[in-house]
Amino acid sequence: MAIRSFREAINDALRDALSSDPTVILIGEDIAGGGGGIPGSHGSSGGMLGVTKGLFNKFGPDRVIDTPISESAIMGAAAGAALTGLRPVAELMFMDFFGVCFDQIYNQAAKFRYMFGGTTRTPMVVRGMVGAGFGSAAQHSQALWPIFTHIPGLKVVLPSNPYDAKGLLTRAIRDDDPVMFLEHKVLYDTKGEVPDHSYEIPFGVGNVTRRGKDVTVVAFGRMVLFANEVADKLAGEISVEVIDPRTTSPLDTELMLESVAKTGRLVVVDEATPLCSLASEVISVIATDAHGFLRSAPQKITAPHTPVPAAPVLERAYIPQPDRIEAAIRATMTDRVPARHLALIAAMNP
Amino acid sequence: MPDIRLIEVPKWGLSMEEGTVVKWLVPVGAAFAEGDEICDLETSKISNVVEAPFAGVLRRVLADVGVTLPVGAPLAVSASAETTEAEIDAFLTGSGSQESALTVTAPAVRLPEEQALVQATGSASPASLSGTTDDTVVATPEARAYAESHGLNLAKVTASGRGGRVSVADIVVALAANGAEVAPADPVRATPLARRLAGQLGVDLTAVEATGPRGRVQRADVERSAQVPLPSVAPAGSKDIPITGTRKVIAERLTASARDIPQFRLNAAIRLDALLALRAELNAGAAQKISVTDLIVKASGRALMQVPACNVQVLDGVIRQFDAADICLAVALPGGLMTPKIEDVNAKSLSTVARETAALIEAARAGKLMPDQMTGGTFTISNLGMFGIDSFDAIINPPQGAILAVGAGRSDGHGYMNGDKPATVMNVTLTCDHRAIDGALGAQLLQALRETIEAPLQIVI
Repeated sequence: MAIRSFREAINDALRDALSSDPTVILIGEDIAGGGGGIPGSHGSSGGMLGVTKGLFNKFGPDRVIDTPISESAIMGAAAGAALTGLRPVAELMFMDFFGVCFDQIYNQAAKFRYMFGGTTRTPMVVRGMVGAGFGSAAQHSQALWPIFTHIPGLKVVLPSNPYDAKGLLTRAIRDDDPVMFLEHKVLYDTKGEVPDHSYEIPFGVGNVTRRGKDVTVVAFGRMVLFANEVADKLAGEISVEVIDPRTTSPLDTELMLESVAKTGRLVVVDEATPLCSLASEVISVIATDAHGFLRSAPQKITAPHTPVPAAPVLERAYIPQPDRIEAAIRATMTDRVPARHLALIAAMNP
Repeated sequence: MPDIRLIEVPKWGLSMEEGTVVKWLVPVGAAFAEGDEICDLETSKISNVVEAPFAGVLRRVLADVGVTLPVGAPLAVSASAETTEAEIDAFLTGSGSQESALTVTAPAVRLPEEQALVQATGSASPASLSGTTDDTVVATPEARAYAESHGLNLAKVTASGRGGRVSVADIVVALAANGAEVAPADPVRATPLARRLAGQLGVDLTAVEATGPRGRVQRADVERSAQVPLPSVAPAGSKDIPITGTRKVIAERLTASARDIPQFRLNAAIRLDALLALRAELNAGAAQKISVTDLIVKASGRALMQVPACNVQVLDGVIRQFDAADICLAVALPGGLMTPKIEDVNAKSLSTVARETAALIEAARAGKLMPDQMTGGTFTISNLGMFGIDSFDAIINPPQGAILAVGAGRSDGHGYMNGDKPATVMNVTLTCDHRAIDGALGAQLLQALRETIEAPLQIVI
C-alpha cells in the first residue's frame, strides 16, 4: 500500500469521486488555486493548503467552481445544487467561518429532508479546516464539532489519519444527507498507508486504535494520535484501550460501552472547549448506560473554556498534551473517593 | 407468541404517579386466579393490594420489595408453566415489536446493563452458533474476541448495530435464544461508589454481602465488610490481629518513610546535670510540673530556630521551610503510636509548652485529638528514657525533616569528656532526611541542641 499524507488522501477521495460520478462538483474560495499571475499556472496551488491541487486542471471550471469570498453564497449554492440532483462538496476553508453561512447549513440543508416529509435528499459535503496548533489565533483555530454535532440532520466526520480521511470522505460524498467533514490542519502532513482503490468507511463505526484492558481512552481527531502515544508509552504498566469514534454524529456509543464494561475506567480527550462538548456527551453516555461498571470517576481532558491563544507557548498549553492524558489515565488507576465526599455521604445518611 | 402477560402498576386515583412494592403475596412459580392478591403496593397516600387482573402463573418478579415504579410499569410476568425463560426474555426485551413503547416508559424492563454489556466469559457455545467468524462479518472488537475464544460464528448472530454490526449484546441474545447461558466475567453487581471504596479499602467485592436493589453491592456493604475482621486462619495457639485503623496508618506511613526517604543518623551524648537542676528548681512548689521531655521539646524549638534549614518538611518537588517550630511528640497508646503537635514552641513559655503538652497527651489518650493536632510539624521527639533505653533511633514521620530519639539519663561515673567530673548523660540520635538535610547541617542542629540542654537557662528567658 502506498504511503500518503492526510492531504493527499483527501485529494485522492475527491479525485475518485469526480472521476466516478459526474454529479459531484467542488465549490469554494480559492479551491482552483491561483498561480500568482503567472500565465498558465492557474489551478496549480489548489487552495490555501493545496488540498484540491490539480483538480481544477483535470476537471475544469464546471466541476471545480472557484467562488468569490461569500460563504453564504457557497453554502446556499451547494444546498440548492444538492436539492436538485448534484453532489456538491463545498469548502469553507476555515470552519470558523461557519458563522456567516450557518443558516444555509443548519436551518436549510439540515432540515430539507424533514421539512419536505422525506421526499428530498441533500447530498452535500462541507469541508474545512479545524483545530489549533498553527498559531492561527482565536478566529481560525477552533474545534467546533460540538456545535455541528448538536444539530439533528447534520452528520459530522472527524478523521484522525489518512486512511480514515479517504474512506470517510468517499462515504460522505455518497451519503444522501449533509455531512460536515472536518480536517484538522495539523494533520495534513501526517502520513499513513492508503489504498489506491476507492473504499468507504461507514459512519458511526468507531475504530479501536489500541487494544487494552485497564483504561478506556476515547479521543477525538488529532487527540487520537496523542492517546496512542501515551498508550504505547504506558504499555507494560497500564493497558490502555484507545477509541477513535471517527464520526461525532452518529456517535459509536456501543463501542465505548463495551470497552468501559471491560475496563471500568474512562478518560475522554477532546481539543474542543469543555461545555456541552463531545467529552461531556461521552461521559454522560457512560454514566447513564454503564454506571455499574465504573471503577473510578471518568476523567475529562479538554481545552479550557477560553478562545484559542495565538502565542505558541500559550497555544500549546491550551491544547491537551500527552502528559495531561497520562496523568488522567494514572488518576483513574489510583482513584480514591475524596474524604469530603465520604463526609458528605455520612452527613446525608445518618 | 406464548401466553405471556404483564401485571402492571395500577392507577389508584387521579394523583397517583408511582407505587412502591411493599410485599409480594404470591411466590414465583405459583398459579393465581383473577382477583387474587398479588402484592402490597404503597403510594404517597395509601397502601393497597394489587389484585390479579387475570388468571395465570407468576413467572417472574420485575420489581423487588422497596422498588418504586411509575403507574403502568410492569411489576411481574405471568406465563403458563410451559413457557421457557428464553421466551420471557425475548418478550421483555421487546425485539422491536409493539412492546418497544413499553420499554421506554418502564426502565425496569430494560435488559440489565450488566447482562447487555456482559463481558466475555461464558459456558460452552451451542452447536447452532459454533464455527469461525470470517473477516467479512462486521463486529465490535469485544464481540469478535468473544467469538474467537468461544468458537462462535458471528455470521449466525443477528446483528442490531449500525451497519449490521454484531455487538456483545447481540451475542447474549443469540445465546439465550439458543438455550445457552452467559455468565458475566465480573459477576458482582456494585455501585460505582462501592467499587471505588472497595479498591481503596482493599475489600474483595465478591466476598461482600450485597443489600442493594437487584443484588447490587452498596457503599454500606463495603464499609461493613471492611470493618469485619477476615475469617481467621491462624493456627492453633495463635491469633490474627487485623491491621486496621491507627495501626494501618502507622504501617503505611512508616513503610513509606523507610522505603522512600534516605535517612542517616547522628548520635550524641548530652550532659543533663544542668537541665535536671533547673527542672528541680522550677518544680519546687510549682503547680505546673515541668518534665524532662518538656525541657527537651523547648530546647529543640530553640535549636530549630538557630538552624532554620532543619526546620523543614520535604514535599513533592520542594523543601518547605517554616518560620515557627511545630514539634510533634511521640505518645505510646494501646491502639498505637500518636504524634500530637505543639505549635510554635519557640514563641511559648516553658510553662505554656508543659501545659499544652499535658493537654495534648490527655486528648490523645482519650482519643479526642483532632486531625490538625496530629498533622504538619517539622520535627518529632520520641523519648523512651523512662523505659531505661540507653539509646535507639527512630524513623522519620513524613513529611517532616528529622526526628530525635532520646534515651535515658545515666550517671557516668568515669567522668565526661576528657576527665571532667562525673555527670548524668543521655544519648540522643537525630535521624535526618538526607534529601533536605546534609550531615553537617544535621550536626549543627544537634550541636545547638546540646548547647541549649547543657546551658538550659536560655530556655526560660
